[in-house]
Amino acid sequence: MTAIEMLLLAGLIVCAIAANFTRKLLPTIIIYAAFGTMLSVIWLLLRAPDLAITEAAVGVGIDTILFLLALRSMHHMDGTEDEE
Amino acid sequence: MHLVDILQHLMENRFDAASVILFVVGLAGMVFNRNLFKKVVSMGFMDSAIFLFLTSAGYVEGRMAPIIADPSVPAKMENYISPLPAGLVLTGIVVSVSFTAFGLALTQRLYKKYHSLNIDEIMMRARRSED
Amino acid sequence: MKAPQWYRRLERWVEGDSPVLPEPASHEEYYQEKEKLPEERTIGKPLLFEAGISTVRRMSLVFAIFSAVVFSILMLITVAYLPRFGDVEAPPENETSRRYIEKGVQEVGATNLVANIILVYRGFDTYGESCVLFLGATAVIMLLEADRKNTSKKDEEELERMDRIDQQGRNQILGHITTVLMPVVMLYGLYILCNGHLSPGGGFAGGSILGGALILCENAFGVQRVRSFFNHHVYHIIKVGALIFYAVLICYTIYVGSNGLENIFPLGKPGSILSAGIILPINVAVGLEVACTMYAFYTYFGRGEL
Repeated sequence: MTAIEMLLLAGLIVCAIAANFTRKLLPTIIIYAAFGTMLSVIWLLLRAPDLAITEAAVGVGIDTILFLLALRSMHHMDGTEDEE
Repeated sequence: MHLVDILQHLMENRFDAASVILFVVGLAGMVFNRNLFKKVVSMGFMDSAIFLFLTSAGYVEGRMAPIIADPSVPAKMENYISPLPAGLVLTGIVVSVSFTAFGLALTQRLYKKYHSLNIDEIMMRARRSED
Repeated sequence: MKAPQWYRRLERWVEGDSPVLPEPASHEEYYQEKEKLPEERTIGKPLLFEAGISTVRRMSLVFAIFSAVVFSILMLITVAYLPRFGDVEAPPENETSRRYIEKGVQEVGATNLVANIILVYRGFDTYGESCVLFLGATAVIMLLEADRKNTSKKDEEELERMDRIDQQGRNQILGHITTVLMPVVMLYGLYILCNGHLSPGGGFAGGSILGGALILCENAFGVQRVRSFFNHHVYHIIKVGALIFYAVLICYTIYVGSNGLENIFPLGKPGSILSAGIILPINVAVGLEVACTMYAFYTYFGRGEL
């Protein structure tokens, strides 16, 4: 159990550091979503199921959608025709 | 305390240690990144670090989650984890989403006006348009 | 008296300049410097040595990592003096938690103790937090509402192009999958919403899932289909109505509790769906509020109108 916890915590820190060093902004958002997923698993391990459900719905779902929409409206996403 | 004691204690307080490191990484990202978008993301990391710290403070080994579903386990403090940190953090998560949306809205308006996400360029263009 | 160099550099950093750029020689030079992009700034006294912009960037990175490491070591030493993780004697294990755990079910009635705390014991706190959500949505609407000053021609063309794609019905795979998935998602959201006092979940999680279902609906079936049952009239009615309903219930509970009157909401048998007094109505109100807010965030970020 401790090994899983340590693995997840190390994953959190790696995600937080890696989000600062990406060149494009789309990988940052994907790293943020991965961070939220690991955090919700950690909350299950800490016996806080309310937090796990809320984090999975809010932190991973809604936050990611907001970031993606903001990125699209700023025309920074790969695949849109104008990349500034 | 000796170094060995400190390291052993940190291994036991692994959630606190990880949350502290996360907080520092988020703070450094927020202060030293020149990209407004990444500043908002770093603020999210800092939020999560605080939540992790609060939640891990209430955890006690061997107790159940604070939901009394099984009537055979009496509602005693020795059987259930304190529900207070979870209640505090639950409201915090939703407030952090409000903050994220607000910060992104401000960033979007700035981008539409100055066509940049770099704070240096935004400041420079704002100064130029003032003159 | 002239301010020391580190103070002037700090002042420039607070004003929005990069902290490690070279110090200019005079005031005029400083203002000329401010007109340039960060990459173009060359004149001025070098900081440590003759540095190009890439060196300055690298030094900034090194400075960031160095300060982060020092700060985290300081805070890790502090963590070593905190109470041990999972300790029975830890400070959160006090009489407040004991009261919430041992008396919560008799006093409030919900078997989910977290719902007891956030909706009744600390209901006023959560009410303020719902107001924060309301304010957040209002601020986003104010900032992103598509008006004359805010929209360029390119944005309008982009929006028209997306609407054309919507109407041509190209997203058939998404449409079919959503037809199958939508009732399940809605049912799951409603389950979490209405069982907030019995199982994990509650207003915030269930409301976000319902808002996510609305967002999926708009993506799959187009804007017009969603607008036919969820326009800004419905949005305002639900949002303001839920908030006022919540306020009335909370004020009633506080009034009754502080004066020792009898509560008209029965506590019921713990564990059944119609129990726990005001928790179920408040959960539904919070859920509707959160669902509306999430959908408003989505639609204002995407289209700038509701």
